Amino acid sequence: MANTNTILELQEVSKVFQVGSMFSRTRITAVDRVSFHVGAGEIFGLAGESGCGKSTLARMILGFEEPTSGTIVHRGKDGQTVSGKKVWRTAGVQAVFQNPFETFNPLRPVERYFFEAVQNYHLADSRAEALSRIDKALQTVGLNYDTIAGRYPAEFSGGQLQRVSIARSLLNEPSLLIADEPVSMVDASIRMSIMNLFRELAEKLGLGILYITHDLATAYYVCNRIAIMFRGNIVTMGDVEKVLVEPKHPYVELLRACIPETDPKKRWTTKAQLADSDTGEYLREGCKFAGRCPRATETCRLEEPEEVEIDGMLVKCHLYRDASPKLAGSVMNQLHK
Amino acid sequence: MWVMKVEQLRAFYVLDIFGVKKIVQAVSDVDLEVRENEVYGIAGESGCGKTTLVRAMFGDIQPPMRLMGGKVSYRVDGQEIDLYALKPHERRALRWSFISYVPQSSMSNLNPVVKLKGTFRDFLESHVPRNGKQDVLESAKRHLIGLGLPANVLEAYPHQLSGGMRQRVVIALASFLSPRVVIADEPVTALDVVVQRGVLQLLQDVQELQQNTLVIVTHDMGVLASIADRVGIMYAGKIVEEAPVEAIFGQPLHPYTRYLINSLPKFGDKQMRESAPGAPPSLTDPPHGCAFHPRCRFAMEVCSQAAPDCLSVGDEHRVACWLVQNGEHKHDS
Repeated sequence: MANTNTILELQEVSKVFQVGSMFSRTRITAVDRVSFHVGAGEIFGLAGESGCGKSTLARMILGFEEPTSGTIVHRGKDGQTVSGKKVWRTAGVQAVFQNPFETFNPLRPVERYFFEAVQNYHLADSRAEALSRIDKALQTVGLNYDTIAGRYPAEFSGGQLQRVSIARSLLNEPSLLIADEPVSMVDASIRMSIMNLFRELAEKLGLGILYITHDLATAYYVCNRIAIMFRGNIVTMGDVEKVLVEPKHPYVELLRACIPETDPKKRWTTKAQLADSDTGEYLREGCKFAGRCPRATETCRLEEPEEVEIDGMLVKCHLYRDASPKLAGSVMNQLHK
Repeated sequence: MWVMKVEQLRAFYVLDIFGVKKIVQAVSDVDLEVRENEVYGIAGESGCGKTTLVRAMFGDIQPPMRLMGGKVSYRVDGQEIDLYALKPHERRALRWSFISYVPQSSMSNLNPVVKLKGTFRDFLESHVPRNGKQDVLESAKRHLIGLGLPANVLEAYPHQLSGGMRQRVVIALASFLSPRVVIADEPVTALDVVVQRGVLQLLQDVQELQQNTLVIVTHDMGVLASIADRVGIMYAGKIVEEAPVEAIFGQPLHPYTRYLINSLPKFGDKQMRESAPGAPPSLTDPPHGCAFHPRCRFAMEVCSQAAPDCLSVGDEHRVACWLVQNGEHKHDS
């Protein structure tokens, strides 16, 4: 049911890793049958704790990792059918990473990355053309060529360098931007300017943005739709206003309760449950959240919950067993509107 | 009553790059009092001198960092001690027993080839008189259980634990000898929200249990709102505002503090939020006058000419801003 506006579509994508030696091997399903899509001009959030599989998913979309099963379709083309390197992914999909100081080699002037990208994608015939192209990309993020000419990464502040990194990814006019925790290393005080930039890029350039984060507050601020992942599964997905403001899944309630309130009068009075080890939860049968869920029952520990549709959002939880089971595509269609 | 006092502290980095001298004024003229049994938060952008300040408070001064002036005093068992008048071995004796320090990303610095009990034993044997291996392990176990951590982490290698658990073990280690002051430098940066909450909870539990002082350094005002009692805002090597946490969030007076608070996203409010414009100033050549004036939208002529003093504006609230001193400041603008 791919809409004409759909840029990226994932269907039943799984990734299994094997841990341990030959005789004591454990199989960990890092990503378990995940399906979602990202439209043009849309910011789609993918949120969850560290170790929930969100970065593995990003690596698969970028083509660094092969999915064990399932398909990833970008603009109607399936990367699996292309032999060798996945050219379409690097051409139309660009990434912005967590720490801008690790993105760039500290011993190279940052402009070299720009000229290299222009060369690799054959974007210009002359140096003058290349310069104007680079300048244009930098202006989109509020900088210009003169501010980066001849400078090394250490000469920039974190926020500025993250902007430079975004400008670099815009050089070849991608249709999809994968932003993997783009602000978690950036100071809280300048986070919002980067978030505003993402909003602007989606609105003005019609860019699809997959915003991967653990910070629900910023996700709420920029995203249109959001999927919450827990130990490889998408536990709930839908409109950001619905998923985060009226949470249905107990895990979202836990996540929300963990965001520090900005009002010193509303401090935490209760304690949150933490997982001791990641693998333990991955190997759990039934609902993977059952070990920490305040409302877990016997069924949760034994059976894996079905995905059901409530109120236009997808929820994977036994609490809503009696709600209508997910009809193929109905949620998807509704979410397109 | 104060337990640690900083007076007119100046700590600079003196760099010599190919014959060119560069001086980074990381901490200049900071006055600070940290009291007994409180959580004191220091907030500011990266590169504003927060880490340098706490390292100077801990007495860890190594080149190229240099102490250019000022005084750091501790109150140990009712006696005032000037930290930098002590001999190195006396200073070392105070560490961990009186003051302990959890540096940035310390969770990644545990020895990867030694089980955690080895780390605990190493640490304890150098600080408490020998009383047998087994005793040390037993007390380590009791301490961990007392803090609500599983005792079997002692048998684990660092890589077997999640980042949040490692950070909590490091905090347990730092609080083992019940120091009167614990300094935690960015203890939750880059941890995800659930783990962040767990670590903050532990810090709070330790503080309540041992009735000591916690100094927490962070750039995230949200963290301070949830655990600090008093907050100092640092900008370009100086404390620009200091107040109890309710006052900082209720009536922030310095324009920079207001930017820090207003830039926090909130649920149920998708309105455009603005960050402070521009970039943090360079500390090798800080702007003349008030260091914030190039980014301040209320900047006046006097701001670029002279730096304002940090003056008290009532109830434990002090602020360094010309707007406030000229009486032009309005609440809730």
